[in-house]
Amino acid sequence: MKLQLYPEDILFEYAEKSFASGIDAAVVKHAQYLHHLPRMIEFSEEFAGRWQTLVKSAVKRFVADTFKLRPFLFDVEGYTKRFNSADEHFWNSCEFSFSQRGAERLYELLMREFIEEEPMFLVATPDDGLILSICTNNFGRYSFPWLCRNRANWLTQALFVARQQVVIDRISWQYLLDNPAEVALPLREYLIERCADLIIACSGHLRHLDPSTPGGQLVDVVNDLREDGVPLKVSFNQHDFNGKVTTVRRFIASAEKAFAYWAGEGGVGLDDEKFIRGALQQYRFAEEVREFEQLVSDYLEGRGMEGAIYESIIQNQNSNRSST
Amino acid sequence: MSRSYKIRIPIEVLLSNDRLDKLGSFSMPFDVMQILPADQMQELLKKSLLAAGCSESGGAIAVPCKEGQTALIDLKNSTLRLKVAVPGEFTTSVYEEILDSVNDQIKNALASGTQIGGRIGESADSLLAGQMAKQLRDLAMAARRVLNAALKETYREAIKIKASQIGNVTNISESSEGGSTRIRIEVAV
Repeated sequence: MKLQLYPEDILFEYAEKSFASGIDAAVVKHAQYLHHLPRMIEFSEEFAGRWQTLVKSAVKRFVADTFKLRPFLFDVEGYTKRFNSADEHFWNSCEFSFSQRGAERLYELLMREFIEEEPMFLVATPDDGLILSICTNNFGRYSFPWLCRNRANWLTQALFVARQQVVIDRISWQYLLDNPAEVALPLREYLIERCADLIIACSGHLRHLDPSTPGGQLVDVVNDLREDGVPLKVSFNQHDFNGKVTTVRRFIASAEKAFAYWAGEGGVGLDDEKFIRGALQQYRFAEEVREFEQLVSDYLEGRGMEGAIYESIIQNQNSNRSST
Repeated sequence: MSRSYKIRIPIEVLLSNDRLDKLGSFSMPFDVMQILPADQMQELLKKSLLAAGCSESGGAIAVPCKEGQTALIDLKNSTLRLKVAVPGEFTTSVYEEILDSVNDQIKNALASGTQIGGRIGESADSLLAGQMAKQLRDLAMAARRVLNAALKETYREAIKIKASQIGNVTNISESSEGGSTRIRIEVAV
């Protein structure tokens, strides 16, 4: 029996399965013949149209899964309005750019068993990067400096903010707070929410620290307080308590500066600064920071008290030594 | 070349009872805010401690501890009394040349109820002091946590009683943030 294999068709099958359940679970029908396929793919003329249709619907599904009907702020003729993913304005506000390169990288993933090199993930557009991240369920490959340099739209950036795991000494989306002018209005409110969630996660981590064992307390905290939101996973990879606190305080300073800019000179329209101030109140950013600082001082007090008790015990042991 | 032998020496041969007491016990005072008269505060604190799983023991309140440790809260004197068991033996190495003489010293000390002193005694003292201090510190921190939680509960109750002495309590609300608790009591006078 003669079997004809079309790499494009296999790639489409692989892409559909990867979007649905990730590359590890995506097994194509003719998997046993993959080694007969060329190492590099050449696309037909019809490919681009089919590819755009497939990835656009996959990304739309992913946006719906990530943000549900969460409203975002938009500037409409100078005035701020809220729209969610069910509204046309939401989608009109951002343009996706899916290129052939995304398909090439996915083909490299399909053929990874036979190609010795890692797929060149950075040879892609940010939106290609988004689909590759969805397929591989790894959103850590693309940094925010890279996404911004390559002009990722606000929604792609928001998806990376939502899905990237945070490592406390390198919060990748802090780049956006350090460059607040580059942040589009819809993303600003979401960043306020995410910043508050991060501080809540840091406070949760501090609550579980034991002052008597200052070293060796590396834990991951998952903040899943928001029912409809993507849980924020924070990895506390620093042993040193003071180092951790300094990192979080640096993040807070960066966030506060960005928020002040968005609520002041960095305003987009006539009234968006009111919405930014409202979001700060709604997500209780200042209160969460106060709570965090209170926990830091409680921890230090506990450690100080322990030191004082230890000193007193030693003094007591050494008092009236002549009686020994 | 000399051989060395590990020997186990009964602790009472190395350290006096007074010294062992000093190494294994520690007392620390604590404050109780006098929102109500002292005897009422003591009664409320006792109630809170018992509710938290403590038990009465010889006129004081015993905090649950690991075996060999005791933490007693003396309500009358506002003192936390801690005790950890000192090991019954001390293990050390001695060279074969002096092994017999050390064994003789131990035998004599045991018979006369005295201590052998010297370098072995000093080394046992310093090693045990370090070990006991750490155990006492950990016990103190654990007991303080129980006591602090009970004190918080006591203050909450005491404030309510105090308020009810002023007038009719119409509303009580509480909020916690970090390490602070706010209790708001509305009284109709």
